[in-house]
Amino acid sequence: MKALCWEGKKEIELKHVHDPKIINPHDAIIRVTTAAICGSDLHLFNGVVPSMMKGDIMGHETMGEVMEVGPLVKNIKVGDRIVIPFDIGCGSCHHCEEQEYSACDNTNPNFMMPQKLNGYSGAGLFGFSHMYGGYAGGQAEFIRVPFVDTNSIVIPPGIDDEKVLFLSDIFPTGYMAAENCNIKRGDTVAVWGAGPVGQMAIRSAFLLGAERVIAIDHYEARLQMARDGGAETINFDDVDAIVDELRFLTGGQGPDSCIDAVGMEAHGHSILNAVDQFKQKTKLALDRPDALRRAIQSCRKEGTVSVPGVYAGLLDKFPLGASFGKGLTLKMGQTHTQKYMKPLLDRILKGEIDPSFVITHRINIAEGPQAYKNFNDKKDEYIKVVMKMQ
Amino acid sequence: MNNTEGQVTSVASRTSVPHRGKEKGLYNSITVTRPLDEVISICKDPTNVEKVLSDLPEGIENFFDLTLVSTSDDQLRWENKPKSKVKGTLIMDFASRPAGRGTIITSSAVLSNFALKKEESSDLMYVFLKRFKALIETGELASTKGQPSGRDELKASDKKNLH
Repeated sequence: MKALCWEGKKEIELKHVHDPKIINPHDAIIRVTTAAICGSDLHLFNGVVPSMMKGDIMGHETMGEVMEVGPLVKNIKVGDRIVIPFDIGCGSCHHCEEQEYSACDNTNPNFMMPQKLNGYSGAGLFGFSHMYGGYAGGQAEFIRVPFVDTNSIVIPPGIDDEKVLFLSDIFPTGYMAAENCNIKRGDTVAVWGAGPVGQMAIRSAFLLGAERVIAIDHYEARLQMARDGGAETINFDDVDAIVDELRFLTGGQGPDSCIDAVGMEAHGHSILNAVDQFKQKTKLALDRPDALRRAIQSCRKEGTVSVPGVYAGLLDKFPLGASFGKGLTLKMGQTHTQKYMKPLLDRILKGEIDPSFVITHRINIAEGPQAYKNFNDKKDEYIKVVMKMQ
Repeated sequence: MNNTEGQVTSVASRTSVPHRGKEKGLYNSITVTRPLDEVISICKDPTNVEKVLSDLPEGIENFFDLTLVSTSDDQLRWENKPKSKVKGTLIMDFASRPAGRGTIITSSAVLSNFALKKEESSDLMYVFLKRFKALIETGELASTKGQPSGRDELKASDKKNLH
């Protein structure tokens, strides 16, 4: 089959590799119909996530048709059209029973690696480094899905792939980020990063009752998309101090909640961000957390900072003093995607939201390597790329 | 040592492990979300022990070639088979967690004629228990062995029957 493989920093190649096969009895093999490139794939592309190996198959936003199921699969059958969550839950451990799927105890075969680095191991993830299990990803013609009864949602006929594909990651991720803000009537939510997850967080915040959403980015196309979704916007290149600007816009209080949809590769104009850039380049640090710093500094007292953006290591100059002094609630973590797939599919089917609004580019898998470069360089107003396998 | 609801069972599980001295013993514990009798029953089965100890992750060596020598309601005791290179004993103690929150397995082992580095010791016992937990809770051990990757790119001659 054809697959997009990581071959080193800023190198993605289309390769011909063996087809996947059933390994365990709860597995299924899926013929991928549509996949997407995620913003977090760019962290891998840029070589800032440890434990990638040359040849790893990329991709964790995937859907397709079930071709084969293992002998212990109960609910999914050959021919079903399914969306696959990016995180892999076993469905049986304490965390899965509590719908905390990304904290699954049993799906990371390389659990010693994160255990040693971070003191814990979470769930395995598709196409997201060996620290997260080393599972082959879904930017390929076929993918093996472990515990498919847990890790899938069946899509009814008659609905286009593009409307439901983002149930695999960015829609639940944006939604959980907004839900973590515990939004109340009249609330203002600030969202750092108007990329795909940020866009979903903006729409989700409104779905959950936010009065105002303020999006912060410096790419005009992204800010325009945010405005199309009802948000006010700030281009951080145009303001001297984002914290002061947000305080001004909120009558001196600060936003009720702040969402960091940027993660470990933040841009900005502060001296601290310049230090972060240097440390990341010289491998002295894994993360550039400037968006998170600003979110914490901006949030109102007793507010909530929600972090769907990905972080990997130990943060430098983290404003814990401000967090403590203001009594902030910090909520973060990989998304428990499976928990949100059904309710969010229902919202799509009811017409409350069509997540395909975020798509800006449609490609064939053969165009994948170039699309990674374009997406990373934000060329041609790239926001969200979906790919067909044929 | 009561394991009745509301009691602190972690103390019970800890004190139920015979103290063997940290220099020689390997210790660890894990919680499995299944009732005690089910957990013991699965752990007793030699085929399950074989599964757990086979195909260990890279860097973890299997020192155990075990045979079950004694069982009770809350303990299994294993020893290396007579012809094994390593002479060792492995004890698994089982204690119920309160409010139906599963079972704590505490493992301790002694390798009498073999010294492990400290890191190897903790890794070995953690891997052993983590894999048992996965097998009990899910019926399988997560694996990516044999999955495709670009490291095994097909040769031109193999590409004839490509999808």
